[in-house]
Amino acid sequence: MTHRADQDVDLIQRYLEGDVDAFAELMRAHEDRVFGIAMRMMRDRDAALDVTQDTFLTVFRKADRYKAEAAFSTWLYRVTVNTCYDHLRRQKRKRTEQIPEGHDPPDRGSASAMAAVELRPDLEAALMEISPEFRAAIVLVDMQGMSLDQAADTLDVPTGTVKSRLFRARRQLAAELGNFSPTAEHPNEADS
Amino acid sequence: MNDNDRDLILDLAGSRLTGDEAAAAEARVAADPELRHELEAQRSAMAAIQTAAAVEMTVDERAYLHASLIEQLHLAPQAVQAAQETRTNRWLAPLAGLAAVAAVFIGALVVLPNMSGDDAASSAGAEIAAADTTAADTTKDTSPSLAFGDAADQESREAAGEASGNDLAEESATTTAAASAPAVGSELLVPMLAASDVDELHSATQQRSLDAYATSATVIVDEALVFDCIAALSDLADTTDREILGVAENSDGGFVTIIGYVDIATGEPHVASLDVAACAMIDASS
Repeated sequence: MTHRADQDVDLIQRYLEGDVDAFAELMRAHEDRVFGIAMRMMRDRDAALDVTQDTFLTVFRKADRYKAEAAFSTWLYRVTVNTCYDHLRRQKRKRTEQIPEGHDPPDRGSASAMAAVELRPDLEAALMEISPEFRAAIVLVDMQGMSLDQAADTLDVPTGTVKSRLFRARRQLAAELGNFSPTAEHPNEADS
Repeated sequence: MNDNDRDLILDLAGSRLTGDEAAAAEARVAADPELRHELEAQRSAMAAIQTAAAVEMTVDERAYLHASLIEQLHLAPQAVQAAQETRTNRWLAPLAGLAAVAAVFIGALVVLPNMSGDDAASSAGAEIAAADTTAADTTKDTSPSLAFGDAADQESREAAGEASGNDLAEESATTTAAASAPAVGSELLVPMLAASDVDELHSATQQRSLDAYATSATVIVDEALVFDCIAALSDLADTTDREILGVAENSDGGFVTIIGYVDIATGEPHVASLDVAACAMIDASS
């Protein structure tokens, strides 16, 4: 394990023994990255902040279930991504419930313009066209700099699945940005 | 294009090949228009992503996050202890949670009419926080406070903490309203499940294989009502992939809604039974 990973294990142990400051130190070490992942997944700053908060609440509540065989950060970022999936599902369900029949689709550009992530608007819109599972591969590998194996551990899927998702997600992103004409194969089809 | 070609392109795009390997891969791609096209797409997407600015929390966002976690995690050691105790006695936690919610509701009914505006909201938030203490653990509060950052941040944290308290009050008000709201008409047809006891379903449905218990009968449930109830139950807060699996008759003749969910932290699937009318979790698989 790396020095950071060793520190994390020590901090978790201290926290479980009742040292709450240890958890605060863990938060300080990881909160920016958790927020970064959430921002890229959710697009919206408020939603990302909610995800960050829920992630740390989950990790706090389930700290006794952390198994030190995997790095704490791997577990933390897995919880982050799963929390993003959950919030996105809830958003989708909420939208479905709220939109009556025959209602025009919402203007994607207006609702969260003030809270939008600091991305080029076209890139931001293109990213949101990609399914959350595929987007997560891009966020972890291309934006957070994880290796394919680290991303696979974080997403709890085989490395081959991450490769497949990453490849297709990038291809769809390029197509959305007008830099690629996709062939018959659709980027959102099931993992190979 | 096969998986080997895909991996070759990924390795080239990610600069994971060196020397002869890279040269051979480049040559292979250059000779195949489809592969060349795919590699260009990968590189163009990566180039676009590289233009994205780093994401950071603002000072206010960080202060808000810390303050809100301080408020909600104030019970830190007790909550961990409670989680450990819950494993030995699963029946007491839902009852304690239910008692806490009832106490809050009664408290809010008594206190809120005598207050107005922000005072009422702050008070409701405090009531919820106090009730959570009861639900999480009945031992005395000996938890130390969380300490984020240095003392210079204290002022902004306090300001953010105030906002957080209001948010909590709003959330609790929403939750109470949702739990008691009438059905909104999102009907879902689910199987009627037959088992001698709901416990039997729990033990047999770890993998959500309820087929053996499904009867030919189906029941209409109000999906929104069930999910509103789930949202109001703290025991189901850290869960995802929730779905309504069926309805079963309880040993006392009442009906319970069986739901499946996945624990966000562990990824493990579980089954729980809910009394939706009372919005109470009867039991969950361990």
